[in-house]
Amino acid sequence: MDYEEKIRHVICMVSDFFYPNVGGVEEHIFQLSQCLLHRGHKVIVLTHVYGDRRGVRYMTNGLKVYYLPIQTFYNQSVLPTFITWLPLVRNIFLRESVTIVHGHSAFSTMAHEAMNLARAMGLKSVFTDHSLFGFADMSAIVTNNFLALSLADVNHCICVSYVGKENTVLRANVEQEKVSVIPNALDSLVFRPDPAKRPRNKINIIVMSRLQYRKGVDLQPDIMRHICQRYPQVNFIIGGDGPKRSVLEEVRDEMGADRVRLLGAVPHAQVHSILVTGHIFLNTSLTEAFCIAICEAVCSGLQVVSTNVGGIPEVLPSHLIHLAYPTVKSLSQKLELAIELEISGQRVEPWEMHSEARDIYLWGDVVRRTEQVYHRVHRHQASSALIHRIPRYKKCGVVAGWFMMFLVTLQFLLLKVCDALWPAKDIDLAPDYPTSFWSCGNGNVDRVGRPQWDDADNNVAKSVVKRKQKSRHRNNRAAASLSNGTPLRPDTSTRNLHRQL
Amino acid sequence: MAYRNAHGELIYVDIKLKQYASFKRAVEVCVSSGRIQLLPWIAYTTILAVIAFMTQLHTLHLGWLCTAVVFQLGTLMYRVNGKIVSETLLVVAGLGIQTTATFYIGKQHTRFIPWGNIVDIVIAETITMQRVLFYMTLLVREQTNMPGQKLIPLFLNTWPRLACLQHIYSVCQDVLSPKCKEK
Repeated sequence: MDYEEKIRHVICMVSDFFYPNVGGVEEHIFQLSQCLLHRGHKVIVLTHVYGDRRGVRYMTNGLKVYYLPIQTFYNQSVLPTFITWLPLVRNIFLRESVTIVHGHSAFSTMAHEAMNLARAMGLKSVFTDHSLFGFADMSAIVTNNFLALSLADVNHCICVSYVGKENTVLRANVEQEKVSVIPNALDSLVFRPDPAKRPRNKINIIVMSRLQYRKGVDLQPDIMRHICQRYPQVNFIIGGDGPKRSVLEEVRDEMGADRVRLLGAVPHAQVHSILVTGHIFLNTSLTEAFCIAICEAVCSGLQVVSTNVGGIPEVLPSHLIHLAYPTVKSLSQKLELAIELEISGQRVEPWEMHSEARDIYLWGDVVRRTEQVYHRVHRHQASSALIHRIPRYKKCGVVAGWFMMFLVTLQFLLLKVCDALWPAKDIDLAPDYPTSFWSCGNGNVDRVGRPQWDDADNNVAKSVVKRKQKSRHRNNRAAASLSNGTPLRPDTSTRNLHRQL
Repeated sequence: MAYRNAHGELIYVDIKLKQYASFKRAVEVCVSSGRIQLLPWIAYTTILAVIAFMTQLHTLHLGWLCTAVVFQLGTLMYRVNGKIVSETLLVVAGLGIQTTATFYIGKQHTRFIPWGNIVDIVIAETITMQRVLFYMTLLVREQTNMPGQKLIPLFLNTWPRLACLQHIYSVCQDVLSPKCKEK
């Protein structure tokens, strides 16, 4: 194990979803990358262009992000073409000397294509699945088929809950030994209870989710009507936006804007300040791989009423959560129970809840486990020769399997063409971002911090130019958006992370 | 000094700097992409000639032949006219920075940026269609009321590789760095 501790991986996170987009996957990639950087690994992120955010950018602690010029096609994902941006990604893998490619989210086409290319180039690939799928409807069948094709040659999979693992193994036909369960984590130092912030004589019920079908928004109106009529002191606060918003607006107009408040989309940085104004958190999801929202609520000292679906029952101990069936009746019953507990003062104290939930999902823990997956993948002997890769697709069925074999062969030929056109020796290796300013060395920097190139110590000098670039980039108007008001809260969260680690 | 550029071709870097002076006030960096490549030209001409003979172009119609020849000559003229053989960066402390592009036919394009507008020289990265490349760029203050900074990329016709850029960078910083100390 000692030997493994010293391995420095170069990890390339690939996903269509990344900052400035906001969401669970984006947050996860950012936090995981920050922790891995802190552990001494090198992390780069590949994503596609978001508006005027293009080119190479640096985020907190030298997280290097490539915004590749690829057009999005559907739902922020790029068109699956398999080969069109092969030369560009090959170039990036070579210049950053990537060893492990880590794709996120089953919906991200970029992740699948990059992982496949990584296998073709003999690198290792890891895939994190953040969601659950059904098996019956048309879109699920199509997605599952694509996933099965993509995961046929992946080195390791990570799922966020045991239910998620079961789901992935079944629908993508992956060997279960290849699948690990690593839960999501939250920044428990941010989510602290603050009982002073909530009203004394009222009870606020918070609902915080995207307003769409799979979050069970259709159940909410009837629950709200029932509870509002029965308890005059109970109000609802609803955060989030989505296609089902009109359903809730109807209820608001019926009940009055003081009883049901709709906040619209809430940036993740403000979620905590809204959570602490409530007493009870209601989650009505119909499917959920791992619900980080309920963890955040419990950590902030709220009673949680949730549907008993997907990975939710394994997320929290049973005395911290009221589980209900995904029906109006069952949810209303549990909600009434929670309200009664709140009125009679018999509920678990907020700080008690916080101290219990605080240490369950830590980023430090997630990173340690992810690192072990990386070590394991690093040891893993899986030949990337074409002759060994092709048989892996045989299990994917006749049509899809053979089609994939054709694509993999084409990819192999294109890689050979690229090797001839742009040989690896003509590709400059990108200098690493220095871990600290003084790591530049004494003799190589003059008094104003300018690097003094020295051939004997080229690496040191290289690292300084990166640093300079970064500080210059900060001045740059385009990069200014990085430092002010990013929803990912890089500064606060990293500070907390350091404490956690 | 000989380096390779991003396309794998040889380029020559010539640095004129008075090393013996106690403080460095001026430096001239000249990056030249060597001579014009004769071999590809001969090869292309031969191939085109063979194709022309195979299709019996000369017996087909004289007008077609003339058009083809004129078209070829036009292309040649255009390529030679637009070919930049060397790029020069002249940094004079207290005065400014001058960039010069020398064309194959001897024409020169010069651009001067006064000292007051210059912020710094940095090496940055850019994403092209198939590659990610390093390039050297000049950070300048914009002269208009618009606050903020502008980039003037350098050596965009010779595309030196990172090792070469680092060498140029360190030489230029020797002249530029006193500017930093003033701040």
